[in-house]
Amino acid sequence: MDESAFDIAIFGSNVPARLLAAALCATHGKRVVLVGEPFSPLRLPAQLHLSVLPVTRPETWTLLAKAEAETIALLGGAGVATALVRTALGFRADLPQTIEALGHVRHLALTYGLEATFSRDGRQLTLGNAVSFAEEMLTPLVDAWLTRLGVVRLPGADTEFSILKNGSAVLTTGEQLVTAQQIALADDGALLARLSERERPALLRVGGATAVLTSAVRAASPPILNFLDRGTTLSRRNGGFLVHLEGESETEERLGACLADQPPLHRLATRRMRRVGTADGVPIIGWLKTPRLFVVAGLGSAAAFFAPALARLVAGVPTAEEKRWFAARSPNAASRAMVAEFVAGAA
Amino acid sequence: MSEQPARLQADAAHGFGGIGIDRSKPLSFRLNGQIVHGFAGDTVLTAALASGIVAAGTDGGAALGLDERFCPPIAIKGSSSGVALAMERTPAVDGMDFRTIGTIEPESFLERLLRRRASSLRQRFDGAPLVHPWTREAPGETLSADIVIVGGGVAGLAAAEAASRTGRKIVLIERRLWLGGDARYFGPIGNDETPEAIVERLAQSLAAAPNVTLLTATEAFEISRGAVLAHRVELVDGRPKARIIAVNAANIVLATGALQRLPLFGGNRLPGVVTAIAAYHRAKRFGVWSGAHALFATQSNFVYRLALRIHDAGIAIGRIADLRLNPQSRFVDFSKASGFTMSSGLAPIAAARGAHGEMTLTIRGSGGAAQSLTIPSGQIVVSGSWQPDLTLWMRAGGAIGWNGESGLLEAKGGLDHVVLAGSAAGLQTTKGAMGSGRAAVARLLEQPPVEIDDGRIDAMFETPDDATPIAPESHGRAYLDSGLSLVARHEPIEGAPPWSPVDDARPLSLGDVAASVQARLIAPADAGVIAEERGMAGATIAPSNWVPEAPPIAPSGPSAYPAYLAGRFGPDASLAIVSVDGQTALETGALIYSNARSEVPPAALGVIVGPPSDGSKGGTALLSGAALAKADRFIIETATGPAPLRIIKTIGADAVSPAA
Repeated sequence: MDESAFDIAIFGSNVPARLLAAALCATHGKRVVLVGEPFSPLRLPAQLHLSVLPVTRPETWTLLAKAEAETIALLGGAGVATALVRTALGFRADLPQTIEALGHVRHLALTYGLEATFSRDGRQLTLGNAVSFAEEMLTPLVDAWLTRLGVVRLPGADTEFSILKNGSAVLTTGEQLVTAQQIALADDGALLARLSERERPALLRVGGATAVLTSAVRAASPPILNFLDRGTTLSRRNGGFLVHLEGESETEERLGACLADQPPLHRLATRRMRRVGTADGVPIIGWLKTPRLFVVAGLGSAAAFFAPALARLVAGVPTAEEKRWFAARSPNAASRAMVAEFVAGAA
Repeated sequence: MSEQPARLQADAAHGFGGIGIDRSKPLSFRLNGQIVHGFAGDTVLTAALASGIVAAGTDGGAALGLDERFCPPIAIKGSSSGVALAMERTPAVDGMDFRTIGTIEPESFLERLLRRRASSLRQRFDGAPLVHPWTREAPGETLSADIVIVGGGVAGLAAAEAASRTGRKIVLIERRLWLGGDARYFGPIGNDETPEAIVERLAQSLAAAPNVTLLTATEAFEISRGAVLAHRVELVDGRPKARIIAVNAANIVLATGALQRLPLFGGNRLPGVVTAIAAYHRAKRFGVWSGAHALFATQSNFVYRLALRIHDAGIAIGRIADLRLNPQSRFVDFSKASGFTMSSGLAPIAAARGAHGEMTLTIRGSGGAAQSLTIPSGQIVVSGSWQPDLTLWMRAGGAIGWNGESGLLEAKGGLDHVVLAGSAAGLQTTKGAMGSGRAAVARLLEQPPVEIDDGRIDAMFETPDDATPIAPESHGRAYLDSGLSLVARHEPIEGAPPWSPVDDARPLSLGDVAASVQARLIAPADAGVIAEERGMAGATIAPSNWVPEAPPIAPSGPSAYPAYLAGRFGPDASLAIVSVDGQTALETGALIYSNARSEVPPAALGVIVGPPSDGSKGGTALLSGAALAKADRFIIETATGPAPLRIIKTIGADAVSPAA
């Protein structure tokens, strides 16, 4: 076997990229090279990871339900499911149209077997029994698993690639040269670093995001609360809050508004990052025409749970249901109006 | 003197009797109920150390040393209001009664009965970082200046002198009670002017300048919107008092110096383990040295200089263990000539403190056997590299990154109206620091550039300092740094849940981050961003009443429905007014099925999108056109279970459109 020949090169450093590499290798027997940066345990997690999204398309709920079960099985099979937890998850609305959308989310959630209750003021929907994991807890376990699987790692900063006429790629890292039949850009960082603005799908939106760790807070319920119209999610972590703020405008004001019922909180850490989303709230998944690259963007906090389905797509064995779902969200889809999702908020 | 067991002789050599205290003016005060003796010129901290109080308390059950970089804030007992005091900057005042702010372990009757002298402040930390409460206080006074200079070392003094000559209004902020920074510790190079002479000359010049305000015992902790916020301690009517000062200035020079890193080994913050720079200042300014012996673990030539001087002051040198192999230096040669026991290529791997104050240091070379050295009483003096203090630089918005060659976090890029000077800017010599202070002012005032001479002694003549010693594994709790964060190296415990740095949430100092890089806990490339992310603690998050503005109203009305429902019920979906019983209000989002209610959501035929537009009871539904053509009765989910649903009125498909 040619040690330098791979079926796929996955560019990405976050957990979803790592899980995609693991699923391709463990489930589909693919030879995978993962191109990204080593895990940095002292950095704040760039995002939360949740098996549930506030989406309004039943076909997406069907995929999410399957994704949750498959991810648990995938990680359980590798002995790394200990980092998964069940949690309640709240969505809070300020605007009437968001309250209306939560009504749709609630009924879909109920049908898919989740507890779903509105608060007395009708502004907060709490879903029970979602699956979540702490990135900094899971990543070292996944890294050890990737090593056991024989996934080869290359440093993202030092690796370049070029696409050959036959669609395969040559990757160079200093003197090292490897080939891959396909290339996937599996996280926001890889997408931003490897695609010029001109090459990016027009619907992609690049913006800022911030993660903040606070000092101890008064007990809040539920443990994860997403202020949809404020672009802010509070996640209770061992006394304090890990806060994720999407967008770059009025971040301090939005942060202060979401913590207004707390005693004065200290900021223990702040991380700023770039985020890739889509204008219509629908992810973009599939192969670009030029350059011929597989891209994943806009899956939000559920991205990690899509790893098994994405692996099937990349390996060429999606189910019929997945094939339809991915086709409608392909970068080359003629129209996405029929799969548009609710897009919250002003932030 | 038995009341102050850690005080050196008044006439100790090299001024180690304490140049900052007046032994003719003894005093005493209470601290957490214990009587502390000292002299005029002492701080509360140095008097406590002189009186034998060596521990701040406990962390995770282990004693934690009391240190200039780690001492709890204090308040005057009975004084419920006012800004907290900093122990290391508060003058010792006769008759005062201080208490530390935090959780104090009560002393049992037996402990009171058995002890001769208290050696701890009995504060319990339990892993929680020490927070300076004044960082949450609002300024009580606002000053303005053309240039504010943070740091009263030689770089800051030189900057202040250069700026004062231009006639501009200058405020210089220095956290210590004295000016000159750490320059005296290093001494002069060759025939250069001594740091003492330089500091004396510059301090006199500035004191006489009417346009310069010198604020000692004042620690800057924040830069925000062009203002430097600082915590100042001073005597008001004979009582220590603290306040927050805001200094507004168009230009800022950050001459914040460098912090000596703590070598990473088990027991590195036990009482009796002290960094060389802290040991030097305690002895030089205040005549404080715990015990009659000393062990040294170093990677730097200047520790030999300290050892020589403290030996002259009457302290027995047990051993100097150097990380470097066969280091060459004039101070090494003098130490050999003085008969010191020295060994090289050895790093500290553990320290222990006995019940009677005896100290044991375990050292080991690469691949060699460990050796344990014990002194009956005294201090283990350790040294690490000098990390530029860039905390305020980061607060001002400056970036930093790891320099693999120097093994330090260094500033990257520049800022408008904020300039680094001295060792904070990477300068290493007194001459270089002074030059950079003058250059910083020239740059801010757009004057011609000033040349900086930072000529160092060639490695041919003196072995350069090595990196901070890092023990390969921890025998006992090994802290990453000396500061407030109390972050210890995480040792994986078999069977225990994995450690989460987020759950173990606390700010990280620059020393914590630098040690993490050296100990390979984080990648060098990430060090800068981690320091920026986790080194910005302290600011309180201000509550706000922000509310989102509603986006522009999309076309709506009886014929519109949300875009996220487009296509969900087929291309010919229609809106219809529907009702269960003419009484029940139907919930938005409730799904509508055919009469056989066994389908899953993808097979739902419709959904309630809102109340009826005609004001009747029931709801407005979006329904599949095909289903409407076949039937006028459906099943809907209600709060009490499935219920039959009938169509009251349909709106033609042609008129239906998703809102934009």
